[in-house]
Amino acid sequence: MKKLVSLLLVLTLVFSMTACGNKNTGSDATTAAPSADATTAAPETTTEKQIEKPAKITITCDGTVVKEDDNAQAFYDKLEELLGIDLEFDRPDHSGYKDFIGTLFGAGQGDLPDVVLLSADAYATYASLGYLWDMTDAWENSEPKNSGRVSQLGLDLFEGSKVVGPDGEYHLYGFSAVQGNGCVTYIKQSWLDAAGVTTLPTTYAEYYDMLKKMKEATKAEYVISAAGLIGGEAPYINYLPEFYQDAYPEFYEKDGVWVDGFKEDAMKAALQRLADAYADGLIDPEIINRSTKDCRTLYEEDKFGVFTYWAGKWCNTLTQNIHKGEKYANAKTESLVSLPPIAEVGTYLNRIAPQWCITVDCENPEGVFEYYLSKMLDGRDVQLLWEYGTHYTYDGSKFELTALESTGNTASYNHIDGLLKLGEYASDFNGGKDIGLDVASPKIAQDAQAVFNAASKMAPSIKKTETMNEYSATIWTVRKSVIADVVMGKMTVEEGMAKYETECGSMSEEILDSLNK
Amino acid sequence: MAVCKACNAELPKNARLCPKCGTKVYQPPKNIRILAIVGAVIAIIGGLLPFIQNAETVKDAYSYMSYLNNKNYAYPNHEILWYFFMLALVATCIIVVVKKEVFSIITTVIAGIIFALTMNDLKTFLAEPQYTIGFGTYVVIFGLVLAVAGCFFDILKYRKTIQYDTRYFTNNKSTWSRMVNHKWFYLMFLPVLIFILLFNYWPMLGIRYAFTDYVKLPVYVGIKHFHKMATKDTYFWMAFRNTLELSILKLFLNTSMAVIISLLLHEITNIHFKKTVQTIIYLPHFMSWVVVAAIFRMILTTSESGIVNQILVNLNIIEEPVFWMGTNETWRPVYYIINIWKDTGWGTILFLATLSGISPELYEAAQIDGANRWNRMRYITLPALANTIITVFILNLAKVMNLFESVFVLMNDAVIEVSNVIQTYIYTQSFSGVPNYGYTTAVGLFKSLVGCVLVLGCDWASKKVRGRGIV
Repeated sequence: MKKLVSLLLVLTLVFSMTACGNKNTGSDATTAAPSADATTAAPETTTEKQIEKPAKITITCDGTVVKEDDNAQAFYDKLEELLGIDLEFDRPDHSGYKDFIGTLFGAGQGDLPDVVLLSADAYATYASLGYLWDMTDAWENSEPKNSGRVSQLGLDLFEGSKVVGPDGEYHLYGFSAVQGNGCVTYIKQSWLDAAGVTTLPTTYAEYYDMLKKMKEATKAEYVISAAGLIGGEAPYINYLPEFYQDAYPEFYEKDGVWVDGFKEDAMKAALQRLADAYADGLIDPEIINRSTKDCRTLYEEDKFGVFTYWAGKWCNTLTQNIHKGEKYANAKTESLVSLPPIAEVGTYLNRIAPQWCITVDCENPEGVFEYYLSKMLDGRDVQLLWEYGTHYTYDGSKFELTALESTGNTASYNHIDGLLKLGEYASDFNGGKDIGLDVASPKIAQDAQAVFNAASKMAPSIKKTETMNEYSATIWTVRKSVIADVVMGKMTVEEGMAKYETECGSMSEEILDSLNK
Repeated sequence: MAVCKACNAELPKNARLCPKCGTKVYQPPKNIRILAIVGAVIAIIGGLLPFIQNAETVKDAYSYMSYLNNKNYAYPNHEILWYFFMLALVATCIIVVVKKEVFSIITTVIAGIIFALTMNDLKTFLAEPQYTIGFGTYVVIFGLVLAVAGCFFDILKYRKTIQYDTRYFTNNKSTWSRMVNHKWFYLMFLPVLIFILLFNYWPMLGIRYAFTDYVKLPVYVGIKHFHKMATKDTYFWMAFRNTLELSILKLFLNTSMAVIISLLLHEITNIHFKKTVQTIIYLPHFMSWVVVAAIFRMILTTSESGIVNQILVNLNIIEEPVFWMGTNETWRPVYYIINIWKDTGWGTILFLATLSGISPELYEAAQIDGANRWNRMRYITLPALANTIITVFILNLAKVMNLFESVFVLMNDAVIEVSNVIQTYIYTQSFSGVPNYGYTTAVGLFKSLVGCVLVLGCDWASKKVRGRGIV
């Protein structure tokens, strides 16, 4: 009996380990074969004929593509059918995506997927380390670029998305079918009315005066809140633009020379403004503990009246949630006013969008770009699928969104937000019209997006060096600590800057040396 | 248990004379294999350190452990040889432990030969004036000499032992034949052994990354990260200090509170009430730290819904609501209170079990002698509980470096100076910006070494207090 048990135990271990190492290399019987009827496919270009079409592509992306719980499989199947490529999606948990990417690239070359969706910071980082394929030429020769469908803003954004590669030169390593978007300051109409403000502020003095009037009129504990005093990724200052104004607390290129924005006078002035507003009770006293979700909830509960958040559809979502929640009197009739940037801010910042990147482990990067990435802007079925997924019906005249499986709510877009898309539809495809735009993006969202688009500029470009990578975590820890201490009144601006200089001065200098080489 | 040859009486451990008849007890010569093992371990540590280094900068260092050559120089790749070198030294340790010292000399010499061969390649660096022999070389040489000498002396002692007393070698079968005899036991043990080797020991090879810059691929940089830790990164030392302060004070408070509550519960005679209270105080232990943090944020908020602030303001104890979790002065007390709330109930289990084992006769006798409740607690309960208190304290002391989740969910930018601990520091370094796994491994290794010292210290203390160790 003992012998039998011993053998069983050994065999169990051996089989379990074999199973762990087993790769599913078998073809999926349900995988759609390449579409035979190419009635809806884009006309083949000369380039397509020369580039080999990949048989299979492995993709890692976050929750900005339709979630698994919302029948993502239907989306994958349809995409495979349209592209004629076997697609293997890896969908780590959205909230832990950043950590997942760190671990993925930390494991080194050899285990990377063909395509990966990266945030702006990660994009710049891994491009500089040589993990990403340079798609500059592929983009220049691509069908979307030369089609005329991509707007001038789109072309500019592609240009602005170039980052420094391992050779020290700027190249395009990522592809995005949408602009990164940025934040707009939303003011509740009821708070404006209560404060007796009839004209929107155009300068910081007027803005500050408005906040004070609101606090006085509403007797609220605070008027403005945000997810922390500083953002966790570029462009960092987008949640409190009126206070930061022209300050940029990261290394950036100024007149051809890289400088440490945290040490500049603009940053000192910004810290003073934040500290004053905090002391005057205008800023949420617990702002450092807030997440974006906390802020949205508190805003919907009318705990504060001025909230800088993402432009476009979020304006509509916030308004709808306020109406639906009815957490306070007159919530049903509440409206949000999008504040055009005040004079000192000048323009809102358009961040670099999360980028679809091809890794160096991809065996056929040209093929993946041509037959997968560039198709996101094909102006036809594939673009439509990326924009609305499979949760809609369209009978040729009427477009309707259908409910998501997980929540029963409708989603206004899949991955490409119609308001932010960089490419229009082909003129021979539904008459060049975005069939669902008016349904998915109500006027309120379109107006809010228009306010942002009318006055926004690209966030400063990102450059990463080995030295910067080495010190970045420590420097940001100190910066955040200094900002918190100064704003909460634990130290003066001068003391804060002195602390930064003492703890990070030499690191900052080393980084600047590496950036200005 | 050893017995006296003359009178057959049981002998105490380490006794030199029989306590019954006074006969001199034979003491076998103590094995000095520890010398060989120490030598091999020193050589292993040396194998991680630089063999050649730049006298001017700490990060320009060379060994043959890294499988990537430094970008400025090209020399043969010795990664495989490094593994063999380390393997030979590990084999030395194992062979010494199983008392096959002759073979251990062979493995140690093999390690020495590998070292000499590879050093021959690195020698080319010495042609350049800025390079000198790294201290890793000296450490390896010293370790190897010590290991060989230790093995050699051990062999002499071993033979001497055989001449003196063969009673200790009654089982003179070879190790192999004993293994064959008990093959089914070994087979049953095999899955566990494989599991442990694969998941516990194999990952330990990762400590070599502490000596590399590991952003894209590991490049050997010697002790650069340890140098940075010691000289440049003030936040590392802050995190180290915070870890010890938070953990040790938390341990004192939690243990004290658990003892006090156990004593109070022990005094409750109504069994239903006692069990209800026990259940209530156990419950927080099963809540995740994320939920606990959210609850206390709500309770301690400065807004009108913050119960604590409202009560204190209404009682005129404070004038304005206090941001308890946002100031250095209040964060730690709040942290300790939350920990006590969450874990004290669970901590009482052991103490209550001990208390229930105290004989009621003792209390009855004390009552007859006129002892009041306080004296009964002082002279019966507490002495009976003392051994358990010390045991719990010692066992928990070994875990003081493992502080992460509770701090991570409660900390924020405003209290970083009093809340950042080693594990949160490693997390920040790993997942903010670009992780340099070399640096975070170095910090992790340092933490593990401190943890190891604490465990050994606790083991020693446990042996003293309880008569048996914890490892």
